[in-house]
Amino acid sequence: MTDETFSELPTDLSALDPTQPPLAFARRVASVRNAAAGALRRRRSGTPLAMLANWRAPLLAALIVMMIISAALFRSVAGETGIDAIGTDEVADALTAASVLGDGDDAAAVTPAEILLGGYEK
Amino acid sequence: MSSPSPTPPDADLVALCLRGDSDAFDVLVRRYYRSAFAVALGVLGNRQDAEDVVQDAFVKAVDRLEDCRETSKFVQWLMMIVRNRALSHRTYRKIRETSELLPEIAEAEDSPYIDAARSELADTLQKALATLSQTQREIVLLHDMDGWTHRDISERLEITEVRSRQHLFVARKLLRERLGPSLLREYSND
Repeated sequence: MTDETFSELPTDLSALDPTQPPLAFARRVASVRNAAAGALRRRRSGTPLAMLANWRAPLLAALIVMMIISAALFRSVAGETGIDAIGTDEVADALTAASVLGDGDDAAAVTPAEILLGGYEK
Repeated sequence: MSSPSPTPPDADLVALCLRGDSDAFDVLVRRYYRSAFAVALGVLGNRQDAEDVVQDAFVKAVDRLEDCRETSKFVQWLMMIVRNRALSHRTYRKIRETSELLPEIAEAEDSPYIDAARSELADTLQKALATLSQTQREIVLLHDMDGWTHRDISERLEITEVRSRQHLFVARKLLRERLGPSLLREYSND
């Protein structure tokens, strides 16, 4: 065999083949997989921004539901306690009562402030 | 490179990897480990360094998979990463950090006799390859170990196909001289 024909034959480099023997190759692959596990996990869970983007719609829906429930609760509580009725009318009534009381013996000692505080300051 | 249309296609596997599918990543690693190793060994001339670079390159690839714009050309993109990392590793070669890979591989061998013979042969080949130029080494590894065509090699190394053939011819001739006739006779009988 001449030099030229010999040089046309493939060189047997199988001793350098990293995929052989199979068991050693499996270990090499496992090593790469372990090294890349963190990056793959991050891809599965997503970046914080991507996570926020994924949860944006459900969060918005939950917020709207909470707002509706809060509004309904507030209305019902307001109805039971009559908070809506409290206003300037009560003050006006109290002042009227004071003017009525003013006709009695203690009229000089009773002020609108005392009527509003129920006389506890005494 | 050696297989023209692998199944499942690289593009599908890359799409799965983008969602963090470790099985798809596993397939890509198995499919291209040898090619990546051939490229790295061609640049570095040292098996252990080449293995380290291959592992780094795969991790970097999965980390920056969005940069692979043409997923059907994943292998070209991966080989570019491997080559760049190998060149960088060679330039800034430092003391190898303790790796868990080495004892694991040592334990994985079935027969210590086969392992020793193989390792000795690999060392001899590595020394012979180290005497070649980087281009000769890359070409002979890609062609004779991983089955790349001259067309693939010429695209990867940005040389003509004729030049690739010439380099391969010279590389084989030099290897024959370095390895000696007895070792090559053994090869040619395989």
